[in-house]
Amino acid sequence: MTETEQTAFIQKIRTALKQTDSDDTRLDGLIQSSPQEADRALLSQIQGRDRKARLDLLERMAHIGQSLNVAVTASQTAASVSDSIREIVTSRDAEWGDQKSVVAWNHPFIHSLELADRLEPFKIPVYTPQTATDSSEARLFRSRAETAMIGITSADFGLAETATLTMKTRKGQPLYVSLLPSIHIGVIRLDQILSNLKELYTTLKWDPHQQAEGITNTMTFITGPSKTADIEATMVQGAHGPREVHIFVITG
Amino acid sequence: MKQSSYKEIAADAICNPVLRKALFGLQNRFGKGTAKGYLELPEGPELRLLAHDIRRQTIENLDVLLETLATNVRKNGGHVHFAVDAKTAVQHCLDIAAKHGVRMAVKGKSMLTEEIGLNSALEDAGVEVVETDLGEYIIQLAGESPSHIIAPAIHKTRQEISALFSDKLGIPQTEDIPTLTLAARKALRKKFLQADMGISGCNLACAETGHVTTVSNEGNIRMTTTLPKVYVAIMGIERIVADLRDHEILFRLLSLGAAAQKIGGYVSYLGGPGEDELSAGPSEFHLIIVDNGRSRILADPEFREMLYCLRCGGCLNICPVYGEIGGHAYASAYSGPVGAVVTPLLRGINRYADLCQGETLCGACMDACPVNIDLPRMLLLLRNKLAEGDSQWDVHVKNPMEQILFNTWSRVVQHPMLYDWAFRLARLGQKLLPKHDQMISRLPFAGGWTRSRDLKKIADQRFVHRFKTK
Repeated sequence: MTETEQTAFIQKIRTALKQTDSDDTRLDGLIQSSPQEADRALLSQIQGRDRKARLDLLERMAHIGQSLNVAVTASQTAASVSDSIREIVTSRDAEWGDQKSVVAWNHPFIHSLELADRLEPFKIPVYTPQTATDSSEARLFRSRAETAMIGITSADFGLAETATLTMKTRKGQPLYVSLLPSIHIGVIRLDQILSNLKELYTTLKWDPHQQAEGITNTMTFITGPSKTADIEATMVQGAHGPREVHIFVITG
Repeated sequence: MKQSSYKEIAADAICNPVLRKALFGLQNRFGKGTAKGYLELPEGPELRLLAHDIRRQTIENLDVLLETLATNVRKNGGHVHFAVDAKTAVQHCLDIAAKHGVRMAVKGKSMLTEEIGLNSALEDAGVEVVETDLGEYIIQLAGESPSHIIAPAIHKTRQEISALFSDKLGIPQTEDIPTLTLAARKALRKKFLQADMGISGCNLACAETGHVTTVSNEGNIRMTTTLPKVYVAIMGIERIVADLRDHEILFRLLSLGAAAQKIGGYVSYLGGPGEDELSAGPSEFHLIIVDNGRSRILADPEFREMLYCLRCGGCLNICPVYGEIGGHAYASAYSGPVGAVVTPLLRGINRYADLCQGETLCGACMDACPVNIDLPRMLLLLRNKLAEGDSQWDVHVKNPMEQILFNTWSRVVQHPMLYDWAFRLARLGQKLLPKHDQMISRLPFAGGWTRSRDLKKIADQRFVHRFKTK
């Protein structure tokens, strides 16, 4: 059924275009299948970036972040990130439940923050999904995310020019951890910062590792807190998603 | 129920100081911000011309690109449906809802779903439909229609919204905009968590990877596409790009056109169901690709350019006519210059004749367009079809008397004797007409034209005569 529906539908478009064939060679000109010289040059430029250049990008990201209400913080060590997170957790009020709680990705980088231990004295639980569990546990984690105050994720890349975090979907790293809680905290390493969208797309498309993985079933770019200007064109933060976004960049 | 006409709604809007203030604020902020954004592009404003080329190539190869998109979405585990018209599109969505026993659907803002009348069809089938974009939510509660593509409730004041929320959500009246936003945040959160189905439009699907993409600042589309177990994306045939390289360029321009941003707050590439419950995402992914009159536009090389449109609403933020009359006069989800071209093409050129005739042809929309669409050319072309008729578009001559007059005039000016006599007669005739400050203040049969203008008298002597006697 769907197949005949599709054939008739596409034929109508083909007729409108006065195209006579379904020649796939037309695609070759439309979908770039091998990197051009400029793409290769950009890739090697990204890979060859020294520490100084990366720190410059970080500084740029922090600067741009200010105008977009993204707090970008450089931290020497994982421990100092944990300290900052503890500070945020204790100084804000819970929004979606009476009890403060944290949900975090199952990610080696996030484990190294040892948050559960840090927040234990404050009786603030930190929940992390397991990678291989049954669906009842998955549902339990989702319900915890619904009432959590803070969601902690890492990201694939940070973009300096727009203070953006980009992330693909992987097991144990649910999308809604960056969406349901009142505050989203992203933690990345210095070498994950790219300059801009052009560098990101070039990397996604031509870096062999990225190419092999594809862009997964969902890829998300997050730039700043959830916001709206729908009432009298007045900007308000915290429309549906997080009202605060923090990015910590570990430089050590 | 007879709908009010373009002229009536426009006249009301012009007399509404609150609306005009809101529109001025909107245009002042976004219109100017977008223009500045184009100038600050690393590639310079010429990127718009490159984007125009990308759109042209894409649209000229829509058939193979749509096939590629469908193949790749299926490869990612999604379902693809094709709908030649609104009815089929709605039916697909109803079938999906029925199959999953859906009781509540949350929606991201989508002008296409307005175009096909999806909400009322779902409601008739017993599905509660909740719009989740704050602006759309407001107008849904108020039972109104959007007046701007990106800011659908721009015509409503905080006082009106306060009264509305107080009535529908039971909150105390307040004029504090953050408090109003918070009330909607709380009310909609419940809906997001309970909904069985999420529905959104699509900004630009990517054929190469098999993903639809959505952009929002509120995060409502992320909620809609992530939380419910079934997700349905609905796109017009033209909302597609070939590959990631094109996406990068068009996304930046789309964000600038829509809200003068370098990038929208949330950009999502949605390519299929979640792999398992722990990576989350919907367990079923459906894409409905809708024609509904678009292939007819595609078939006409002179109007094909309209399909390059990204629906960013940038032209609304600059148009002097939209700035005065707002969106409701355009009588469809698509208002402003884009609406003035696309609505007649989708729904009938004669029926929506006022739209193209109301625009000024000033060209501001073309300058504001992220892909440099020549809207003024197409507005003129629509006027031409209305003046002369066109069988391909089923257009009949809008004003046959006008056509006779102009044909007669064309004959008169081609014959000097006739011309001379006609003016002698007119010179005598004008003595009988009412005057004001030496100008003719009213013409018979052209009262509309002289209502707000005076006409110069015909000189006693023709220029050629005076030239000869000098």
